[in-house]
Amino acid sequence: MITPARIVFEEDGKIFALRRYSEDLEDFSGDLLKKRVVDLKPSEKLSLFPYGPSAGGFTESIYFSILTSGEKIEAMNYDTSLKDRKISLSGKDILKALLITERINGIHSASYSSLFCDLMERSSGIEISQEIMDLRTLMMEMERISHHLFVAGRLSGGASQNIASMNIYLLREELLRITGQTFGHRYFFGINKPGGIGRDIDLSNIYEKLESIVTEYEEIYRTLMDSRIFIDRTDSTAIIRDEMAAGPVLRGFGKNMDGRLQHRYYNNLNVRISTGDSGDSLARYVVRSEEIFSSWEIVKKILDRNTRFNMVEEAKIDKIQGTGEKISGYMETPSGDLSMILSVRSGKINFFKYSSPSLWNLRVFADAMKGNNFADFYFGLESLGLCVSETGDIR
Amino acid sequence: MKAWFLRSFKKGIVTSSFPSGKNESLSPWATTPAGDISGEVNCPVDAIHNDKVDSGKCISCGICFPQFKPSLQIPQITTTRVEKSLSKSMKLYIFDSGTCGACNLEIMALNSPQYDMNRLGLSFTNTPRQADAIMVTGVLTDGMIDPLKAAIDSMASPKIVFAVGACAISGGIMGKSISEIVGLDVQVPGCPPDPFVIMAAIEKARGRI
Amino acid sequence: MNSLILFLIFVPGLFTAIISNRAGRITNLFYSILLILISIFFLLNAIKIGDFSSGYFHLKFTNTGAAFGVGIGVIWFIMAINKILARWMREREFLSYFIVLGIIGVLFSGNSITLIFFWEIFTLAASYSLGLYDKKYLLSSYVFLSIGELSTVLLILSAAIAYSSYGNFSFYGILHSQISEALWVSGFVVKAGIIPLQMSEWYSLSRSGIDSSRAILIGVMIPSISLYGIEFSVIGYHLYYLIPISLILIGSISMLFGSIFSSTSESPRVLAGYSTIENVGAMIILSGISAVSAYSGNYALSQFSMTALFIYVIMHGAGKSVILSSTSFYADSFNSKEWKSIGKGGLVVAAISMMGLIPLGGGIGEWMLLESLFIISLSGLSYLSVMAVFAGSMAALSAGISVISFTKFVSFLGVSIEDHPEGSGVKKSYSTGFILIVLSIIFPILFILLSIKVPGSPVFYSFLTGGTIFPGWAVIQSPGYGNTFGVVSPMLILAMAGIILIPLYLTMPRHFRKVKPWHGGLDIDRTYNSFNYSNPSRITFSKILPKIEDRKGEKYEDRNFDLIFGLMSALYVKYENMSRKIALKIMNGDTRRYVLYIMLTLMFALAVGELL
Repeated sequence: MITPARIVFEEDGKIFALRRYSEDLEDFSGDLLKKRVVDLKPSEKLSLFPYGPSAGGFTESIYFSILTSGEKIEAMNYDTSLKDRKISLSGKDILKALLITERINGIHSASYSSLFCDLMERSSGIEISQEIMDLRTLMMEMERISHHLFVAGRLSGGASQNIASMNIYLLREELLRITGQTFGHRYFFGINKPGGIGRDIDLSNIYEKLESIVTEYEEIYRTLMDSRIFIDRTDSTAIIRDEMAAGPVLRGFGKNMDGRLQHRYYNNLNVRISTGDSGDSLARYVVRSEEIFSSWEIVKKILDRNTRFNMVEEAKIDKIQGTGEKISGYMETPSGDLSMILSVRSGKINFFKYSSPSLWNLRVFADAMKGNNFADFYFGLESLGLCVSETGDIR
Repeated sequence: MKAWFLRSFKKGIVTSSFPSGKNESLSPWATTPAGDISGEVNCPVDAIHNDKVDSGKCISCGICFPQFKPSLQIPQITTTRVEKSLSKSMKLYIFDSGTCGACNLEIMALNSPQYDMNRLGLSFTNTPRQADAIMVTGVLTDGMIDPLKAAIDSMASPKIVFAVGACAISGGIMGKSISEIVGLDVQVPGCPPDPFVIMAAIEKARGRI
Repeated sequence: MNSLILFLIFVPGLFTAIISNRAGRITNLFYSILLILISIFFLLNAIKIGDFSSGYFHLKFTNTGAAFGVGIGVIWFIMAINKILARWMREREFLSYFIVLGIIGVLFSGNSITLIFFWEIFTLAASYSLGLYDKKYLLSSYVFLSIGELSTVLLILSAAIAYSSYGNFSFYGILHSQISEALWVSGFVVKAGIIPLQMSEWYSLSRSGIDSSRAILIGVMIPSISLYGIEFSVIGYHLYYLIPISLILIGSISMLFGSIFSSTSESPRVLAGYSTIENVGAMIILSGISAVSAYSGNYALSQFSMTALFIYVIMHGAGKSVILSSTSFYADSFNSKEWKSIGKGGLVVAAISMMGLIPLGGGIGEWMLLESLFIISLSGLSYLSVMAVFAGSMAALSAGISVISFTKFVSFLGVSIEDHPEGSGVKKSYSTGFILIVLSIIFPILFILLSIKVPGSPVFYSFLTGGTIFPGWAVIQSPGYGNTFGVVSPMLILAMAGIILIPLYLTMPRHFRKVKPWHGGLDIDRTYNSFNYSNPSRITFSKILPKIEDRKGEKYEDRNFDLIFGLMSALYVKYENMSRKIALKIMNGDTRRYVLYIMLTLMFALAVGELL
């Protein structure tokens, strides 16, 4: 099984690589992944369709240029650099760096901040309690449910299943409201702190609400799976079978791979991984839906163990001084595996690199769309669960 | 088919009556914190001055907690322009100039049944040429300067420019504000603003509240 | 007046273009009006045109010729307008006038050998002009030539068979032998591009790099003259039932496939080309009906369908010519100079001719076609009734599908226009007004003309109905049970044009806000035109469209709807290779010159043959 290198960087004449689902840097030998270069040359019969950066149908700014005969996509290129925020972390103190990391991808902020805090703790040898670990896992799983609901809503909306779409958005909004009420923030901003959490959290009354959301989604999912229209539109569109892919896209074509399987946060939680086999938009949708149910199983187990988390952090940020040694790690965000390398020296970040799942999914998507029907572009795109914000560069 | 119908009836009405009624929910940290500066408060974006919190700068990080606590009130929305002519119908164009994704989704949440923006005559449009208002989210990025200018240019008058979220208003912690190149008619504070806050801002800009 | 003198009046036009381009354009306008007037006066018995005969050369002007003369004149007139608006720099006036002259010659032909002579003249001139500008379009020229020559060969064979038994070249001889008449009619059918599933001529034409005025000549005028050939052959002489029945069958299949291919087309010219196939199919059905009903003694129905055919020829000619005017030099470019000069509103009106649902353009003809088929289906002749039901359902189906073509054409008009400069309103008003005026003049004149009774001449054959079909010019009366079509009538057309379109046009906003279309915010040059958009109708019909691209592996290849075109292309490649070898090894020259040399020799040989 290939475990592709997610981050490759050169230092002191040596090339290091961080592989997918790995916490250890290794010496890199082999061919570097080439920059994706696609020559789009319009001809008499093939024309260039520019889509974006700011256009209806996108949640975020991204630019696609599609070479098409009007029916079939012949080749495709993308550019995510337009909204690149050119985030710079080096020299920033840890608190600011954390706040920025939360906002690299706002809708996956729990995963980003959990990984960041985890690396911080490991860099200074801070032990965190099982409680904090559970809270982080809980937040990440709720985030996963919320994200997958959003993708399901977009995809079913794109396939003209507007009632289903609205029903799903309704559930997602309910989930966000519960999140807002219990965590203080709808997107988990400001909770994770190195060594602890930033505010008191009381989860005593979310069990029923979450359960009803998941049960309702299950009903919608079963009904949607009976819809010929929905199946016809998503079946065998945008088939991706590229091992470079991440997350549900990877599992959509039968790879039983998930960062949560090995991650210590998920020890004893028995993560149930579901896979598809056709690798099309429908398979990815099914994988996502099944993940909503498996995430709920995890959430249930955590809620059974604890319901109250007291604020623990304050002093611990100051403890992190760092030695300049590089710490690396990974986390399974709703979109796929996130890898991160950083180092801290005298309380400031001096090295930071990350590899986001959207970057890889976008790349394999652009290759996979070749030969697809032009009208299926949208289903392909929406089934990825793409977050353009996280594809940006870190300086 | 039948299943969807039955579902809809079973579900009943979930739509809020806001702005005529009260908002059902409000994410605590999407509201402006309030408190007193008794202890030392370390605000990463320098939004706190003498007990006063600049809502345009606040990024809802909660670091000022526990000295400052969420006010749980819809924050003060700065409007420099009110267009009553848009009070019956208004088309919105969402423009992402460099967000983390959260503000965009919060605006899009207005479409969900709980908010049902269509009842207020609001709808999203796919091109700024048909838009009455542009909702700019995120910090100013180099690549999106030209598209932003082009989008505002291609809108017909009267047009309203909304800056949604701390990034767009002040640049927050992430970068520069969009006010460097465009005038902001309405500032919607929050990181990200709660959908109810966005709705209140829209209603204020068209003179309905 | 002698028909030779009348014909010779048109000949000086050949040379005016040599004097100056402008003179050429004016000549076209002048002669087109002259042709219309002569034809109308002849139909009204106001002028008499005598026969001319010298050896085997025989000229004769008939009522059918005059009726089609009006249609051809209208097409010619619009082509002349297009020439004036577009001002082509590279026009070969001489060559295109040759085509027109050949076509007029066919209208005047009094026997088969004269007809074949003129037939060959315009075929060669057209095929040469197709391959004139660019070597890569030589293929389309070759395909056109091969189809044209196939038609000529069929006509010659038929004439030869008749000659062997009757000893002359009169039409009478040809049309009184089963084999010769079958060959004769198929000669015209081939030329109309109509053999089921074989639309090579149109396809090659729409791909080629000819300007729009020549596209009108080749794309609209040549099928009209082919229809003339079919109609005068089947109506004037009592043929065997089988031929008109197969015409109805061929026409209905062509209609269906023409409409499907038109709706799935990717360029405006292909769209117009296949839509022509569809309309020609309808016209062929009508000529089949007119023959069948004449043979069975139902002259009222025959007259009705002939009138429908006449209306169809003129309205299709006008509408399709205006549509082709909108395409520019190359088939793919849409946003051309003429495009802007014609104006969107006018094009929309013209495009209605593609659709048989609105009582403009082909609408009246379409309804009259369906009514004729209804009457035949109730006639009691069992196999004919079944055929009529089949043809009627095909026609109705294709009328429905042609709505897609219409919608596609009209909705795509707006997409490719980049700017809306404020000043364009004035120019637009001129050209939109032009189309509206042309249509609103043609309709009343047409119906008034058709309602006139010419004393002394038989009603049947004269194309003038004497008020039996359009009593009082107001309604259409069915020959079946004498009922009218209600408000669907020429008067409604006038009401449509006058009451709806003109006020709409007058109240149209004159000022447009200057904004570019939203391109996503980046100034990126888009190379697609609206025809490149995803094509849902092609996806819908994908099962019945033969696709060559699939056989060529991954790479996107040209989509050839037409299997025979594919065969022809393959043959051409072989032919080209062979002739290149011959040219290099034997003649040591250029292949193009060699082909040209063959064409000229053939033309010369025919001319010499005529003189002898």
